[in-house]
This record gives sequence, C-alpha cells and structure tokens, in this order.
Amino acid sequence: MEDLIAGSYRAAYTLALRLMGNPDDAAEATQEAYIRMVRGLKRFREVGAFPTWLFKIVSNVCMTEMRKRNRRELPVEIDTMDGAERLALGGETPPLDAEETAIGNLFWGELERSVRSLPDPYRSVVVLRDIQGLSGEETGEILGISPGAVKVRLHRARRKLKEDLADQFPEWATGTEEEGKRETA
Amino acid sequence: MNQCQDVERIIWTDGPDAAPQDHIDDCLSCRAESRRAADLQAALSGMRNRFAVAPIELESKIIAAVNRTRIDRARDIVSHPKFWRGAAVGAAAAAAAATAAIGVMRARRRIAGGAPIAAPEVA
Repeated sequence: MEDLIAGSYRAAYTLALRLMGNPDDAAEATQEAYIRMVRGLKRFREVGAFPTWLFKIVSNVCMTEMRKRNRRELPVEIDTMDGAERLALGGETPPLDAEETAIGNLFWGELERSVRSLPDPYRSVVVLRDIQGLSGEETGEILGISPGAVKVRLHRARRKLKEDLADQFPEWATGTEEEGKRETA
Repeated sequence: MNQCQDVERIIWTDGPDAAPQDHIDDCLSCRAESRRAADLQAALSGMRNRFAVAPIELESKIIAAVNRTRIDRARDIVSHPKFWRGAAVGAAAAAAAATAAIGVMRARRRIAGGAPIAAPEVA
C-alpha cells in the first residue's frame, strides 16, 4: 500500500491543486481521496485501471469540496511546478520541445497560469477532459453535467486559453497565418 | 451560415481532427486555427506528466491516514452487532457439526468392533 501511495500521490496532489487552486485544500483533498480509495479497495478489480480510478476519486472529492465552500484564490507560483521528475502513470511526452529551453519553461508556466486563471466551471472541464484525458461522459458524470454541457464549456475554455497564450506568445498566434499569406503571395 | 465559423466551432469543440479536411486544405485561416488547436491540445495533454511539488509531509500524512482507516475499519467490523450475531451462528453451526461428526465416528467404531445390536423387544 505504501508503494502505491509513494508512486501516485504527487500526480493525485497535482490534479487536486489544478482543480482547487489552493495547496492546502489540495493536500486535504488528496488525503481524503486515499481514505476513500482504501474504503473502496475491495470493490476494485482492474489493476491496470488504478490511476484512472484514483483520479476519479480525487476529482469527486475536489468537486464535492468546491461545491461546499467558496474557493479561496491563492495564486501558486510556477516554480512549484517540477517537470524534471515524472511518474509512470501514463500520458505522452510533453510536446513542442517545451522543456528544452527557457522559452519552454516560460511556455509551461504561462499555460499552467492560464489554466488556473479560468473560472471554476471551465477550469474543471479542461483539467478533467484535456489534461487528465477523461471522456466527455466521465467528465460530465464527475461534474454533474451533461456531455453536451461539457462540450460547451470546453469550447469556451479552450478559446479563452488560446487568447491568453496568443497574448503571451504573439508569434505562436500569428506565425502560421503569416506563413499562409507568404504562401499565397 | 459562415462555413469558417462552423469549422472553427468544430475545431475548438471536438478537436482539429473532427474538422472537414477539404475545407482545412482550402482555407488558410482555418488551417492556422486548426494548428493552434492541435498545439494547445498537445500541450494540455503534456501537462498530465508535469507534477506540482507536493508538501514534504504529505506522503507520510496520507500513509498515516490510510493506516488509521484500515484499523478503524477492522474495529468497526468487530464491534458491529452483526459481526457477533454472525460469529454466534457460526460457532453454533460448528458445534453442531462437530457433535454430529463425533456421533458418526462413535457409531462406526461400535459397528467395526462388533458391538451387539440390541434386538427389538417383543411384547
């Protein structure tokens, strides 16, 4: 059990932090999620699906807590994000060669900040659907909304993220269009 | 209806792969939008492997909480009336089974040892 916790608690905490936006709340929610996990362990059968199962518990705990109390806005600085250490919980290699350079670190920092600055309903769909990779149905189930509502929120959230990143990285926002203009000239 | 607006809506809702490819091939603006959406999608899924630095004591707190929960669960099970009712029924059943087994063994021993079987009394 201790190995299981050691191998997963940072990912669980990060998910809680992204959903709740506050380190203290995230730590509490992570602890509560593991307690629920132990209580439900008897019902758990598919060992390979453990991370997804744990992340759903974490998400459920966070959403319940967020409904109960108003979220306190405490910005978390980028330097609390650590890309160097990774856990084998699935997922692809980060794209865009982002971690190779200072610009890369800046990009990840901005992206993290942009996600965190989204309003709760938008942030939760982006975190669950785009970052954690849950399906629209699973996301809707956790948030208590229909898959259609998930789509609507996702659309608005992604556009908002695009606008934020375009402000920070204008060359990213315009580069391909200029290339296109050059192509036609 | 503006086709580019529809395509952009699809790109940002269902993802760049869901957009009609023939329009993307012909329209520079939608192609650029599709690339941006693909970049953002890839970057967001890449965030899955970037972890926040957790508070130092979090791991030990979780382990302690989990161990407490397991002990509490065991205590709850043992202190629940149902557990003792079940235990009593189980003990009674075990005792009955043991008595029956002893009876059978004694009867077999008597038969094997040639013990006389009492003849029925005739009035």
